[in-house]
Order: sequence, then structure tokens, then C-alpha cells
Amino acid sequence: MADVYVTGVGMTPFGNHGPGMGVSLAVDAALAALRDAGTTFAEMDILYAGAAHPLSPRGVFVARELGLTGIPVQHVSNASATGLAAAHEAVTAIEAGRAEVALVVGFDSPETEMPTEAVITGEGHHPPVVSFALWARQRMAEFGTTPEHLAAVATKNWNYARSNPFAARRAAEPVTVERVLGSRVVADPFTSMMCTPWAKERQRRCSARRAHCPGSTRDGPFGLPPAHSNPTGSDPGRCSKGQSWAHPSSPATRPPRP
Amino acid sequence: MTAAANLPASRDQATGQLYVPPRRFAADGSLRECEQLEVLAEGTLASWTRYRDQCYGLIDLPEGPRVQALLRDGPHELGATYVGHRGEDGTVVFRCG
Repeated sequence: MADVYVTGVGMTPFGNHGPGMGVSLAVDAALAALRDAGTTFAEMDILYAGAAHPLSPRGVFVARELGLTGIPVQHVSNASATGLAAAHEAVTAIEAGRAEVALVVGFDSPETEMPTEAVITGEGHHPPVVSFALWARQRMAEFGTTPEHLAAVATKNWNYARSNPFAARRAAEPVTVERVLGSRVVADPFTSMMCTPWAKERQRRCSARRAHCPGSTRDGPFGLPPAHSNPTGSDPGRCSKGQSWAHPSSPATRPPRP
Repeated sequence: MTAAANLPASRDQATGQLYVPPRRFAADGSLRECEQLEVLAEGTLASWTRYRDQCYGLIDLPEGPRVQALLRDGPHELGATYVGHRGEDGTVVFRCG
């Protein structure tokens, strides 16, 4: 079974980009990943497009913008795990030898306005914030978790986001536990600053390939530590079939570490 | 006060496992057909919250299943017995029994 490596990553900022932006956002993120890998869409053997919202555009429309190369396009939808599921499918295809280089695109931006909460409640479920609040209150009763504990997690996230140019919400001033606790109650024990802004959608993607030369000096995806070193040091900045892929992170596609 | 509602349920006759809401087949993948039945909408409140003027809860039924439920207006008491009543629109809403 072939080894599989992530050779490039890219994303666009989280945010409410409005309806009808799905293809554009997906293409922008795909371009960032392809540039990060030093390759083009022409080098791709297959595209996996992941979108959880039923009104997000299908992957074929993303592929059409990137190039009419005739490669297989698979649309993946698996709720909150959609992006990971799409990446998993790409890894499986490469391991199986059906592809050498794959592009994975994850995005969600509905073509027409339909709140994600409406999609979920329409399937007969409670609103997501209710389900999470019920679990949180159960945990509070069973284990002594307090609102301050929950707020501390949210506070940490808010403050990391302050230095992340891709974050949807970047506070001008450092956020405190007291401020998080004092924000509007959405579903007890959750306040608005503990909750996802539903209107925001996200996009991220990466390309994966089988590397002929093992290893890389670059970081893994999304700030994870590198999984390998690159003893060859060959052909930095390029990712195409049969080549190694060691090159520095692109500041245009990778956020600075907090 | 109206009587407690019945909730559709099913039981795996091989293991005795009760499912609420009902399943056609046992959860173990054996494709064993379950017996379809109803259970009383009565149990213990395990958690609750309020969202947009509606109270929601988790109710532990005596035979094990934990169900998501709509609650009447609160406040509510964890550990108390709650009984579900079916409204004219068919919706079951629980209140402290």
C-alpha cells in the first residue's frame, strides 16, 4: 500500500460570504492549496469535494472552474465530518493505486439562504445548540463542570482567534472569562460567545499525493508538527507526480501561529 | 389531566433491548426483526435547557432508553419524574408529574 502525504494546504477566511459564493470560495481555496503544493489542477488524478449543506454547490461545478480535464469528481457529504471524510476518500484512492495525486476541497456556502439549523431541525432533530446544551448540563450535574469551565474553553479560542487571519471572529481586545459569561444566553449554560455563529461558513482543502521520496521539512497541515523529515532536500517548492515536495509554508495560505 | 401518552417503541426479543424511537432491526446488524410496541411516556429528567422560549429535556425511561423531549415552561428539576402528554397536533410535551 502506498504512503500518502499532504503536499499542500490552503483556505479562505471563515465568514459569511453570502449566498451563491460556494464555487468561488472552493476555487479560491483549491488554488491556494495547489499553489502551496507548487502544482496545478492539470496534475490531479481525482477531485473529492466535501460539502455538508444540501444547498452548497456540487463538486462538479468546482471542478468545471478549475479545468475541464476529465478527471473523476466525487462529491462527499457526511455532516460535520464531511471534510475529513473527503480527505479519507482521497487517501483511500491513493493507497489503492487508483490515483497518484488527489485534490480535496471542503466548503459550505449555500446557493440560496437556508440556515443550517433549519436543515437539521427539518430532519426531526432538536436545534444543535439544544442538543449540546443538554449534554453540557448533564455533564455539569454528573461531574461538576461549571459555566466558568465552559467559558474558559471559549475564552482560549477567542484569544487564539485574535492572531488568526482566517478566523471568523477576531476580538479587538483580549477576551476574558467574565465577558464570555456575560454575553447573551442562547441556551443555558451556553452564551453567545460560546456558540458558533450560524451564518458563518467555512472552507478548507488540501491536496494529497503519493510521494516517491519520503518526508518533508515542512509542517503538516493546519499547524500540526511535521510527520517526516526530508533527507533528500530535492526539488523544493514543487509537487508533481514523481517529485518530492519540501518547501516553506506560503504566507498567503497559512496563518501565522498564535 | 389527560393520561400519559404512549411512545412508539420496539424491542429486540433476543436481547430484550428496548428502542425509543423504534427500530425495525436490532442494532447489532443481525437484521433481526424487532417487536413493535408502545411504552408509557414517563421517566426521569436527566437534563434540560431553554432555547427561544421552548424548554427541551432528556428523559430517562425506566427501561433504559434516554429520549429527547419537549418540556412545558420551566423551571425544571433534574431527577424528578416527568410525564408526557400528547397535544391536539400530536406532539408529546412532558411536564413534572
